[in-house]
Amino acid sequence: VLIRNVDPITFEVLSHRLQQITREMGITLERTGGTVNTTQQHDYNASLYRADGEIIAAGETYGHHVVCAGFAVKRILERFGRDEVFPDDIFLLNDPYLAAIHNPDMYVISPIHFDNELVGWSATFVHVSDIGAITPGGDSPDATEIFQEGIRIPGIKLVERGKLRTDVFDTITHMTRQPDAVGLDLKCEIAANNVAKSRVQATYRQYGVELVNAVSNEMIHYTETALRNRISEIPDGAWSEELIIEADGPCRLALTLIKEADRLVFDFTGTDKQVKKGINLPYHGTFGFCFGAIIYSLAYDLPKNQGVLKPMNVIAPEATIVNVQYPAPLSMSTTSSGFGVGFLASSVLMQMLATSVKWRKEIVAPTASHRNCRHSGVNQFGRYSAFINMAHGALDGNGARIGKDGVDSGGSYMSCPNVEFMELHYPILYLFRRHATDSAGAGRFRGGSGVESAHMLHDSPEGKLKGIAYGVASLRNSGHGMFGGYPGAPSIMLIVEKTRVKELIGTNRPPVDVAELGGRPKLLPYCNFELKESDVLYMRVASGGGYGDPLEREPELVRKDVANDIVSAETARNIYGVAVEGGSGEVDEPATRELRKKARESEFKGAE
Amino acid sequence: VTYPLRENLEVVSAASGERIRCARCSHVFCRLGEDWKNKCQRRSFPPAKAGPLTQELTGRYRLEKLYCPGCGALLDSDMIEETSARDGTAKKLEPVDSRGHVMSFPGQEYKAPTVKTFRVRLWKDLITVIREPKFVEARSASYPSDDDWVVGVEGKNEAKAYPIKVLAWRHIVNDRLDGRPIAVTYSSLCRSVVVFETDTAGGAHVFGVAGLNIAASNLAMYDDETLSLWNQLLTEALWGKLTGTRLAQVPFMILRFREWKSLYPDGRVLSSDLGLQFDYTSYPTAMMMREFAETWEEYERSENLPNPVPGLDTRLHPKTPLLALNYDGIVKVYPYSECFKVRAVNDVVAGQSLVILFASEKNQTPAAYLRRLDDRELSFRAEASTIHDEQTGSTWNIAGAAVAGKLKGKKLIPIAAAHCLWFGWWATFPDSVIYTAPPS
Repeated sequence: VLIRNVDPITFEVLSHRLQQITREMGITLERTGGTVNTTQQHDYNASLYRADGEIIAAGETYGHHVVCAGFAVKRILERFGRDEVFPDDIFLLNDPYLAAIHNPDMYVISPIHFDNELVGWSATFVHVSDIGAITPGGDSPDATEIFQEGIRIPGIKLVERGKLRTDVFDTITHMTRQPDAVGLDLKCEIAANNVAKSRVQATYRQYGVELVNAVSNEMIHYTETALRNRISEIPDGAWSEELIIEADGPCRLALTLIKEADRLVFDFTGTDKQVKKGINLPYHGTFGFCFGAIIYSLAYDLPKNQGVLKPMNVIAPEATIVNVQYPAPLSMSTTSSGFGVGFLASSVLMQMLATSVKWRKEIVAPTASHRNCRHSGVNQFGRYSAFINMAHGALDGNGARIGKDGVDSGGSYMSCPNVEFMELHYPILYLFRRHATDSAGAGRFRGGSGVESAHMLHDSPEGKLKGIAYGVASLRNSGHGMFGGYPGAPSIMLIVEKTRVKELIGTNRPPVDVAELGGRPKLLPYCNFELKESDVLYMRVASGGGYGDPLEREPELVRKDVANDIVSAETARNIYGVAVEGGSGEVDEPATRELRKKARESEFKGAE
Repeated sequence: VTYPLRENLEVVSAASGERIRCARCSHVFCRLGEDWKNKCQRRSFPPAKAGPLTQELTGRYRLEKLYCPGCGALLDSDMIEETSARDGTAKKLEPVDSRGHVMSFPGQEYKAPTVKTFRVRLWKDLITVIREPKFVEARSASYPSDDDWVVGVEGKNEAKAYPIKVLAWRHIVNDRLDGRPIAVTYSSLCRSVVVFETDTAGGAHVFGVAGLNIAASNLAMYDDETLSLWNQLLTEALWGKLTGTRLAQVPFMILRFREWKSLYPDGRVLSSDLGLQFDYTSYPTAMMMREFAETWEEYERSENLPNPVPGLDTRLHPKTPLLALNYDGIVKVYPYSECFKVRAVNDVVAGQSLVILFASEKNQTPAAYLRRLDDRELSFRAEASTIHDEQTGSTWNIAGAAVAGKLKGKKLIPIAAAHCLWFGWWATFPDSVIYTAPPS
């Protein structure tokens, strides 16, 4: 029985209402936020918790932060005790060794009281503009220990009984490079928590404590039961995957998923020891990214709450990249090992789904994420920003699935503002931002094409911007193919120094071909760099992996891809065995049959 | 059918238990629980097989495809590490020190007992070395081309050549010369070439690529047996059971294949049939090089270094190519350009009279010999590209052999030296003496 003790209609109404409150929290963040990161790129989370910290409902953003903010609620309860948590208090926590994932993600947590009783919590995070770390913006490639990664707050009252503690507020903001922007970031979080509190209190007023508590209890029970039932429908087994992240050498992440009856165990034994580079992930982060992977594969239509966590366990050996021990650095964890763990968890879950007649339709080729870049510096209006996120991960191509191509530039997280918005706010000029031809992983169904872009300085008063290169540094990032499908093109980031770009623009030649730019391209590992006049930064984000044998793809689909520049005619011929005539753009069917026959024969002949 | 295992594979129940079979042709692979991948037809391709943009994986990964042996249905495609492609496993280097401590932390510092501390970026088997080289007769070899550079070694009974383009892709050739085990080693970023005997008191060793000595941007090696970590330019183990062990260097020459063939018409050259097929007609430019420069020529011109070398002696351009002698504890370097000014450098190092011969800048690099022949000490001079000794007027070639005159048929004793770019050598031997030619 999925729903007990509550009539199903009231259950539906109330559970959707709670869910909707988290959505409204997100909208509040977007409308009141003071930085592009929150308002445009949606690097935030908003969720509701029961009085003991169990997740009730979460908005439409990250899975991993939903879990970690729940841990944050528990840490606040441990530190202050219920007696010291008063109505209209608001707490702040960003310590990655307690609950957060890296310092710039500031958790603002608000108790919700009704009739002076603690009935629940709301929590948000935004990635604040700066956190006073060794590198502007908070992701610090040069940090070798946590002490270089900025302010670390284990739990503090930011608002006490409804009154902002300006002493605390000023102390925190003054430790950053951008006190005003960080202040706006924190205040939008306070606003979102205020909205949550008032909406939840209104719900309690309308329906009564007993009913709302019963519904939130049943929501968790419902998700847990439905998820356990689904897991039970799949044959038992074990599936493995590995990923290497390159940070001063290869760092191996290894995962085996063990599925037994209605339980899932994610075992990271075999993962390399933690490193002196901020790619390490705290245990709760590893837990959170596994939670996210389940949400996206097996529980996408279930209420997102504590119920998802109940059938799962995570084994992560201590002092490894996936269970870092103090005081190792971890500022780049979310976008490196975090997405790495997300990839591993998705990959083993997909292998598991493939064994189920009922669930295999949900398979999507997993992606090991991308490289990304942030800038900091003075813009064309003389204002300093510590945090100019290019956010191109939002333009990743998605993996192919059974019976469907991956979505071109479907995005893996966040949102990416349009080119004009970025150029309006920051001293940069895009040379291009487009789907990268031949980036999509080939297959019977191909992966989504990822985006490639190039930008340069424009109207920069200082003639430079700082840059940091982060993300998943590995040539095996991007989309991985499934069942014979090929991987997507690796995500790379190059700085091309001293190019001829200005000369090209001066002679009215569009600088749309990297090869024409001249200069010297340099692949960027995890590092700080400087973007100077005449330099061009080239980025290619992840593309989706393919599904099944490329030689079995419908020639008509290949023809469309060629017409849309997703696939070149050469690749159509070499990989798909499809001859697309240059003049008419039509498929030459006899030539295609011959190409495919030959391709099969020659490949199979060489096999051993 | 009990249930699908994955695309194109299914699990079926039979009287004898559950089996994995092809869903297309019913070919049975194995019992459930066994690894079906071991029962597939397997083929590996260069990574660009998956598309032009996966070219960047060249040298690091291979595209491996698995097919059903029954019907050829494609079951899996995966990019696997080069090392996995070769031996089925990708091992990580775990050097063990003399107290049995295992160290596998990237960027760890390794202390050389005699010289100084080196930081090493470990990346075991990033480059797959040659362990079982094959050779062909040089006079009939279709590879390399006559203009290609080779490293030539000469034993009592045989002469062998190793094309630098192959070394650039594979870095180490484990081989034998006159039956003695040797390793011909090369490092792309500092252009170092060192040949050494691999015999130690504990037996002969086979060498692999362990990673990079960071400042020198130079090859770090490991031996298969003890996984000790070795420095190429020191030819010495810096970490592990063999710490402090030094290997004897072997003399060699670097010259164009055409020249080498004319010196050793009966010699043999490394075959380009090397298992792992790279484009051995060109230097690898992907990844490693592209980080620093677009072309090899540009890399050699540029003062930019792959890794910082704090305090680098700036008397020479950091990329100056040179021949380096480490003779009885005296370290002296001979920039090619200085040698070419006199073409025959008569010098004395650690009490030994020696000569550096460098007749033709276009076709060879300098090579060092002892000047003492039988009981006589010779001195040499060059007229254009011909080298004579002043005592008898005999004519000598770059291989240290008298080809005309009174001493015709005599040979000078070659001295083992290393070739390297200045920054890499200096980062290893900062106290080197630099040779400068006398003003003409």
